Amino acid sequence: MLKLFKYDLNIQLRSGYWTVYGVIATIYILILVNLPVNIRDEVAIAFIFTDTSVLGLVFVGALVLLEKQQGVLQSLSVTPVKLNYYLFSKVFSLTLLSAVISSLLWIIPQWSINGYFILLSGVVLSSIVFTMFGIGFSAGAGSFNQFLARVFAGSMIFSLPVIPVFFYQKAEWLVFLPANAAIDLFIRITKGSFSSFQLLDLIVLIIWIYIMTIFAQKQFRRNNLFL
Amino acid sequence: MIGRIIFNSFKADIKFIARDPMLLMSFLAPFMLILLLRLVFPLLSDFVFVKTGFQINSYYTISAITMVSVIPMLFGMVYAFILLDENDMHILQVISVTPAGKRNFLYMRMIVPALLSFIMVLFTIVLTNPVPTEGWLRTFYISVLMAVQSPFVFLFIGSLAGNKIEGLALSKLYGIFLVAVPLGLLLHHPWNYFMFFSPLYWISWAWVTSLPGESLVYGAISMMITFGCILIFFRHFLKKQAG
Repeated sequence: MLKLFKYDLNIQLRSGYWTVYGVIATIYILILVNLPVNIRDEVAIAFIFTDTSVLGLVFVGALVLLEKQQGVLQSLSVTPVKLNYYLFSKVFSLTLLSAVISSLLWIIPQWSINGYFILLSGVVLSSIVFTMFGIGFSAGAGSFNQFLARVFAGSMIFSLPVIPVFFYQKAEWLVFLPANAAIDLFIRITKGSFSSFQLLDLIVLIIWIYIMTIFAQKQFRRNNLFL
Repeated sequence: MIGRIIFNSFKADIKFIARDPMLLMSFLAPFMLILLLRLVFPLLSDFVFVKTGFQINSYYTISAITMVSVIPMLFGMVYAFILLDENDMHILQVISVTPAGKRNFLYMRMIVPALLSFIMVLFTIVLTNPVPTEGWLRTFYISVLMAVQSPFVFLFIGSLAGNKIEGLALSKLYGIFLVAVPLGLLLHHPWNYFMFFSPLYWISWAWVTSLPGESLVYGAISMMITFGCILIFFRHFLKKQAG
């Protein structure tokens, strides 16, 4: 497991994910630092929610598809590596990336760690949920464009219910969806108070991790990728 | 001869596209952008105005220009990923020994997304009208400038990336060219100098400026950057494939 994790991390470093996100984080931070202080954390949340916490969703597809086409998966399936090890090594390596970048985006512009730990747990959990979701889609896709199309269609289901949250105050029942739970969690951080609702959001995200893991496993088994 | 070759490989590509849902999606994307700009944007701006008294409406031009800039990127990206998929499956080596050859193949791959994005950009501009003061000639001019961006994206991703993992990282990196549009329009002297690298920055200025002469100069600068990069990337790609 640890070796797989190192290998994944290495590939991501070499193909420039970390470099690219370093550049993007720098731009975001430059934007944030130039904003007025009172809207800074809201904008930071917007960046974190729309970009860094869901980056795994798309990026994992390229990783899995390349390994699939190069036949790495077949080779892996005759080694003692279990499917879950493979999945979680991918998920954790990408989650590490999103956690690091999100931390930079949150801590540097504000220069304080107010609400940082709740934010971090939200980022980590939602990143795991969405990366798992991406893995599930990549198993069935033949080409990368096909994967992208499916992911966009699939993530539409989760991202459309986010819109009402901004317009109506009484949209709290929607938090059973992962994206809503995450945005709810993040918005509450900007309001500055810790509430039991945030705990509920975290629990919802954990349940979604479980659902998505089963989804990814099923997809892998159905496509005979990893026996 | 060359015309027929290009036409034939275009036909093969159409078949590929019909089976490729992502390209169909990227045809839908402009419609979604139109919906977003025409329906959601006014709603959002009303909402924010009531809540905070902040007028987003005055930023309509900037957000619309940024969104229009996304369209050529989508087409370029889709074609780049087709290329990378083929590269990973070693189809390009096969094509290079057919009469079509690698060069014509690449020309076709650059012309088609440019045409597609030209049509879609023109369509989107007519429907959303980001810069209300400009006439139809400017719209046409900008569409041409924008359409040339999609071969740029195609070669940017296709020639620099070795496989699709790197391709994805590069397509993310292309975001800095996009970010240059709103930042370039908002920031003042001397900060906007940092945006000079992006052809999209020059296009956006060519779009909003009221003087036709200035607009032509800006357009020329953006074309110089774009074609220079296209030439470099094209050569790099051929060299990489040969070596």
